[in-house]
Amino acid sequence: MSIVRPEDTPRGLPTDEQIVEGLCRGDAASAMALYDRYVGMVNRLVWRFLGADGEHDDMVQHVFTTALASASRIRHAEALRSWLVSLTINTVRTELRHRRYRRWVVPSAEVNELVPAYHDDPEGRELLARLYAILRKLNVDDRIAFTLRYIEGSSLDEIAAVCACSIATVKRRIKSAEEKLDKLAAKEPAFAAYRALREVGQ
Amino acid sequence: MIDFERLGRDAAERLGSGPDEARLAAQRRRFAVSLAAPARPRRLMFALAGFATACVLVAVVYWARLPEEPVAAYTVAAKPMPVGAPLQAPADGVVPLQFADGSRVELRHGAQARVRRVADGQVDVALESGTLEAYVNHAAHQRWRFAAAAYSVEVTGTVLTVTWESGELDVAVETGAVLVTGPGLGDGRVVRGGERFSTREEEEEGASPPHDDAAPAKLAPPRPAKRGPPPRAPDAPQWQTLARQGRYAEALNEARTEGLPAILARGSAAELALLADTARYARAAKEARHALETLNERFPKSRQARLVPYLQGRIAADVDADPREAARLFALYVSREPRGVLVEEARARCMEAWQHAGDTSRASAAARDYLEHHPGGAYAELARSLAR
Repeated sequence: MSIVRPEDTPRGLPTDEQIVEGLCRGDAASAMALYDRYVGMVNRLVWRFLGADGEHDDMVQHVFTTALASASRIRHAEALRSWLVSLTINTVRTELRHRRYRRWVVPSAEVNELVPAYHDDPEGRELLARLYAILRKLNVDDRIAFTLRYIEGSSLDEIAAVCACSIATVKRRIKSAEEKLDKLAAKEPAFAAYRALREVGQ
Repeated sequence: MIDFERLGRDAAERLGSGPDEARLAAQRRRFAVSLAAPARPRRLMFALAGFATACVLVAVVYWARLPEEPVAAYTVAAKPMPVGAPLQAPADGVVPLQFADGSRVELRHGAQARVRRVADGQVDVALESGTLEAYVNHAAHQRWRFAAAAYSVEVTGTVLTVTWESGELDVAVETGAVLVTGPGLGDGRVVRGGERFSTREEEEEGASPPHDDAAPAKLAPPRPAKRGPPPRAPDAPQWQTLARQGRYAEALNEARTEGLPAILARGSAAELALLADTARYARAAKEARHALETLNERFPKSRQARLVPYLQGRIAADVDADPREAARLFALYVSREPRGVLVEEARARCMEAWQHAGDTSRASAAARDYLEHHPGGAYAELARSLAR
């Protein structure tokens, strides 16, 4: 699923254009329409960036309250979706940088990023725990690019658009994330299968 | 080099696309409430910004030590409520309490309670009688406590049901973990996801002769840390320790090594329930069923045995991918335990199972049944969409 291309509006629901017009008027119904249309996408993105995080709901709420506060900046209704994606990324980026800073100021500050504790698949839970533990060690921009590319499955063009950077920069960030992740995962049994599969494929 | 595409696909599949329906519903209510709140005057915003700038050096350090915003308030039906106000659910209904951090507490069927404190990262709810169900958001610096007379249930992030009736406390934890403290409980009892605790069973087991391999849930481990691995009961068999750490496949292998027939023959009701959960999470349906059948045979009147149809339904739904059988078993649990603590969950899972089975008429009937009994329930929105 594309993170930037607008989807067709279901029959009977307001279009993105009508939502944007309503938001500029301060219309609460348009705010709810925006929320209902995009809450699934925002939840999915935050979830994939951070796993089952203790502050997940706060971040989703923050994305939408920020969207309402700055709705007047939207110039083109067709860009609403990609604008919300950018807003979500900025929210996550800010949160990750704050966490890094908190850990720097107070080394004992708790890491509030988790994987689902209720996951029924123990191996899957282990994989997610290891993966997100390594992602936490990456540069924030590299981590965002990597997550969008491999977990969200976005194209390089889309990532460049929502991260407001060039495709070359996206490639550089992904490569940097790959190299660091590959190095950090070298001794992790959870990743052995992914390494072996690649080697067999080669 | 790692196959990142495959790793990413697997991670995405296992991670899913977001929190469950109950949390999404809580998110939506919270957003709707925020729309109704009056906007701050612009001049005040500038004043606040100036003040914040002047204090920035102090604030940075202070903020670093306070990574969580405290829970600010709670509402009932979108109406702000004062701390200490008496709350009572109607005999045939539910009163939902919505908290600013997205957590939700539902008072059920005549339950009486008061929210005694919502400040400084601490929420205290006093349950005076009846049953409440809580969906508590996990937040590192927020502590939740449910008090019932002299007992206390401390929560770090979970879905749980607390019942206080006739001087008996019953705590059922769906996910997460809680610490129950109170008279005769020493340093407390840790109750984890899928487990139950009741003061009545505690007394009954206390009266019976002690046996060497007592269930670890009945031991009194030290107060658990908010993070890190769960406390280990020093005398617990290794499979139970692994199970309580969530390492189910390893736990089941260890239980097999120790000898499943011996565990089934000698284990307590709590141990058999733990073994059934362990096998279910390890996707070993046959062994999970065997443990539940043994639980039914050996402890037919235990609290754990009352949950057997519900747990069999979970096996059918989650392991066997047989939604019709799952729906039948969830309905059986509801018919046998119409006032059981998991009855709402069972009704919700029943309607979901029929939906997965593609039987829209039964899904719709189950949704109407759910709405009739739990009109303000966590799955009410899903039920309304299916009932149409």
